[in-house]
Amino acid sequence: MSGFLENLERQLTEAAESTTASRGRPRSPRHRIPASAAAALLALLVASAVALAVTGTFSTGSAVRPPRRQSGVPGAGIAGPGTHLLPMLAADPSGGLPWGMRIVHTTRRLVCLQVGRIDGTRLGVLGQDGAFGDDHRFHPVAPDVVGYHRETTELGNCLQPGQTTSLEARIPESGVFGSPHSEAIPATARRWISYGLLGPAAVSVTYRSAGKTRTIPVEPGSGAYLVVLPDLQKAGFETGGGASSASGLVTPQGAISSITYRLNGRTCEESTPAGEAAAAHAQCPHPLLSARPRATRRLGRPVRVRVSAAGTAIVTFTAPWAVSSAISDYVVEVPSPCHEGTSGTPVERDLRAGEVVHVTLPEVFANACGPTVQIRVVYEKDRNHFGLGQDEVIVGETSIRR
Amino acid sequence: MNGSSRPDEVLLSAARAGDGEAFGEFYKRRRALLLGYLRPRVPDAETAVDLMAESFAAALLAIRDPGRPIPEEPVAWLLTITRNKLIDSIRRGRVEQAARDRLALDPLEIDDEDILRIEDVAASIDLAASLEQLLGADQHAALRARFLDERDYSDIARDLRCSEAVVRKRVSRALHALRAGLETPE
Repeated sequence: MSGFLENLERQLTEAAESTTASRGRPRSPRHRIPASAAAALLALLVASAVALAVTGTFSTGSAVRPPRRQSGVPGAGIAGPGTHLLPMLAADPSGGLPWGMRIVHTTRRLVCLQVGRIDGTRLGVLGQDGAFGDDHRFHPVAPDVVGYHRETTELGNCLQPGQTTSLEARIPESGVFGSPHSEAIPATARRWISYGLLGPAAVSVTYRSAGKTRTIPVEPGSGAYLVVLPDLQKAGFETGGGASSASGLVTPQGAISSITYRLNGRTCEESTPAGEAAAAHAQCPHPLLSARPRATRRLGRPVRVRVSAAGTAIVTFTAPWAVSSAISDYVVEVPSPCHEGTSGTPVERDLRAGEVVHVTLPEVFANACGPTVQIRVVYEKDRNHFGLGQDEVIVGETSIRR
Repeated sequence: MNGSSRPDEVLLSAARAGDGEAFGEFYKRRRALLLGYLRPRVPDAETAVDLMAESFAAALLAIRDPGRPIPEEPVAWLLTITRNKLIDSIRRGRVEQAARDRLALDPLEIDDEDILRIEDVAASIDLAASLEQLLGADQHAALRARFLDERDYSDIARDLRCSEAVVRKRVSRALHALRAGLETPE
């Protein structure tokens, strides 16, 4: 029987072979479409890309609206005062409308980033690559959309106050993430977006493009930057991610090879891992990496659970502390040791101290490892520091039987 | 040449040319070192192995980039990648999987037997003792301060009463010396 270490070896070995082999071979599409349709779609996309690049003007289509919300103020909240378009612009490699970035300050104290094409003073996306019926129009993202410009709240693209971030995304030139048949989008219509908010200590970012190393200043104050490059990589299209930090410094992601900071009157650099070993630069101070035992604090408060005949559980508890922003939250956790771990259902709304909270868990026995399921309510005081090394507060716990 | 006797840099060059087995060999050779470094610094074996997997995936992404040179000191390079992944994880509060996503690696399940084995592998390498045994006093002091005590080069230089460049050189030499001594798979 092979274990985790052997399975990882197999995956890495296959990846090392496939990444090289794929340079000269066509991709095997996960969502195959007929060759004739693909050819027609490709022709249409190429034609529309050329047309847009040549004209650089667009009629305006329907606006991207925020998704329908549940009652209350869940998730990231709604766009509030302070939301603004940054003055920086990045040219698209094929021309046409430039790219820009908008900062959304939400009513639940989050700061969300939006990247898109800029038409005048509006941020939006283009009706191509299968989006908006390929109407070739500019679709402004409504000012009250929070997070990324698709119909999700995108908490993952939002930061807490004081956090800094370096992100990347490989998306179509339309700016729309999640296009149908994205594998059919030609390489010429793919973009590698590197962007972030690095905070007031950041001075500049460095990246390589077309064989040249370029250094550009970040926006003073926010440390915002945006780099748009052709996406020449075969794998990983329509992906996004990066790093964020509560300590002010963040490791560069995407095309960015290094970030220059000014700290206490001295400049220092944060580099990508592959670059750091060879670089003889002044490194920025790092946090201490010694392991710290994680302490669990149990409040022992009552947790009641009612289970319907269909297996839906209603978990009820009294919140000992108020929640007034997305920085803190309560999570109802159901450990499932025989499966992939623990499932968590966050409350994601504001609460008063002493408020009675009801959380619905559909199919609570779905991942049960036996006749009994344990349920616990966890309080996350500061999600900035959630995870490694954070002390855990278990408000209360109980168990239910089938 | 037998794969197990090829130096790290040769394995990485071969991996760049599409020799997946060579990268697998590099992984097998170095996973104990990474687990030995990571395990004492994170709360559990799952986090350690998660960080190790992401570090090797990041290393593979770097190797397949023809614009980057093959590292002259693969162990130093890999430890640096791993250390940065660890720093990122502590800063962010979770282990990233961007490199594994870019390689389209599937999530791997880990069971109790794996955890026991990972703990064994991590415990099989006493990084501090290995450093002390294998290195000269000056190199050991520099490398220990840098990688085990997590201090800046400038800080170490003040303590050792030498320049940052000298500290960097000592760390580099120490890792070079370690390369031979730590190549035994678990």
